[in-house]
Amino acid sequence: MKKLLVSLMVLCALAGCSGGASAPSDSSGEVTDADVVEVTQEAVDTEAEEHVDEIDLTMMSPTMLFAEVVNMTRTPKKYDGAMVTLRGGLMILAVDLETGVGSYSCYVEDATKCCQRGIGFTIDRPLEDTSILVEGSEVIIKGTFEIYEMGGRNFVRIADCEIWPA
Amino acid sequence: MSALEMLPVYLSYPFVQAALVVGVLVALCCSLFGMTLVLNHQSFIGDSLSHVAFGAMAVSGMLQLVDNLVLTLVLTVACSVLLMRKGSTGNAQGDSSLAMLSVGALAVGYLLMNLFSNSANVAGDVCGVLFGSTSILTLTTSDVVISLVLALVVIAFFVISYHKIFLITFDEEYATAIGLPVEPIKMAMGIIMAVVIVISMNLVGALLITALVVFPVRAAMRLHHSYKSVMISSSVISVACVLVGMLVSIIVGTPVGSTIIAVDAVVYLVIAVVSYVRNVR
Repeated sequence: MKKLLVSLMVLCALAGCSGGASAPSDSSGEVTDADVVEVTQEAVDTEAEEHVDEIDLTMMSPTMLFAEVVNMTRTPKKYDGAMVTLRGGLMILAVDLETGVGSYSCYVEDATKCCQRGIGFTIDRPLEDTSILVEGSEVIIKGTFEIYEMGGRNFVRIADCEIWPA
Repeated sequence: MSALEMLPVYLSYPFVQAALVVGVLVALCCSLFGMTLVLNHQSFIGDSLSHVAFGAMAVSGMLQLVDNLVLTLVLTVACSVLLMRKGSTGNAQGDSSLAMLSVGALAVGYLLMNLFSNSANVAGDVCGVLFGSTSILTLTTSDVVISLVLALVVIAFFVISYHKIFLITFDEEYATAIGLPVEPIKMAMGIIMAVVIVISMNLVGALLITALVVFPVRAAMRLHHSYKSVMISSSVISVACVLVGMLVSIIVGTPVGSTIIAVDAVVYLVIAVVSYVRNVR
């Protein structure tokens, strides 16, 4: 019995502790006021077996949408450069309210609505109508998925987006 | 495009394919060991162990482990071994030990997640672990590999030890009398049970595992009366319900875990009614 317990403890020790930045947890809402989605270097370095050029996430059920957004951050290389269309809740981060140019986050919820996953996006060109930029409203965005580096860390976002009310 | 027309698209995703494969193997493991648990009146041991696994996952999160599955497995196996040694059925002390372990682990786990969480959405984390809303669709590659290996080990153990398990389940005294190593086999079954519980958590969550273990077996027992027939039937029912539940949740957009259990419950009710009508006639 003692040997069994010692063996089990050794196995625990081998599980290891993470050192630097860890991958986002499956169900953590990575949506904070100064946040976009960070991805690990391992995820960035992992070559995808196939590449996606365009994906319309507005057609998906909430269950699949949430899972796909999580998996996009796990295998960002697969989607790098892809045209992504996404429906979700709007969070305004750092924005010029007159033109609408700036950084936002679009969050999606799973079927139980207790798990949220956000993904940052940018609007790079002035909007004709900024009245659609209402915090918490549901919007549809379409832009280019990209991996970028900031402060030695890797993030993903959907860049140069168009935006419509859902 | 309608929801049903999206199904071929969904099935083309690698994470969906992995989820279906893992789900089928987990369903098979649960049905095989569900037989033993139900026949030995040990259905709630699975419930207690799932709560321990929840607590272990909270500890893993607190320690920021690279892979929380390892620690969860280790602690759950340790508790299962302790429970098997203590003898957890047929007496009041054993029953209260289960209750203490079950709710204690759940409470401590939730407390640790709240005090030491590095996540922005603790409620979401708790909800996901307890009810398995989309966990099976967000498995990492290592999760998939570990789950597959463990599921195959469980199935292999059951296939190899089928006759021994059968004897110990129905007549432990006879098994001891003919020289079977009853205690080591029971200990191994306790370990395997913990493994099944841990790999099932990603599919239906910690709170719903008991249903995944019990419903298919009880439904099969309504249809058949021989051990082998019940085992085969419960495996078919379990796998079918998991597949249907997962596909429905993916298409319609419902939580995966509870949809699977709802399908299990409906199937059980239908079989129970059919069996009742058949007996009345």
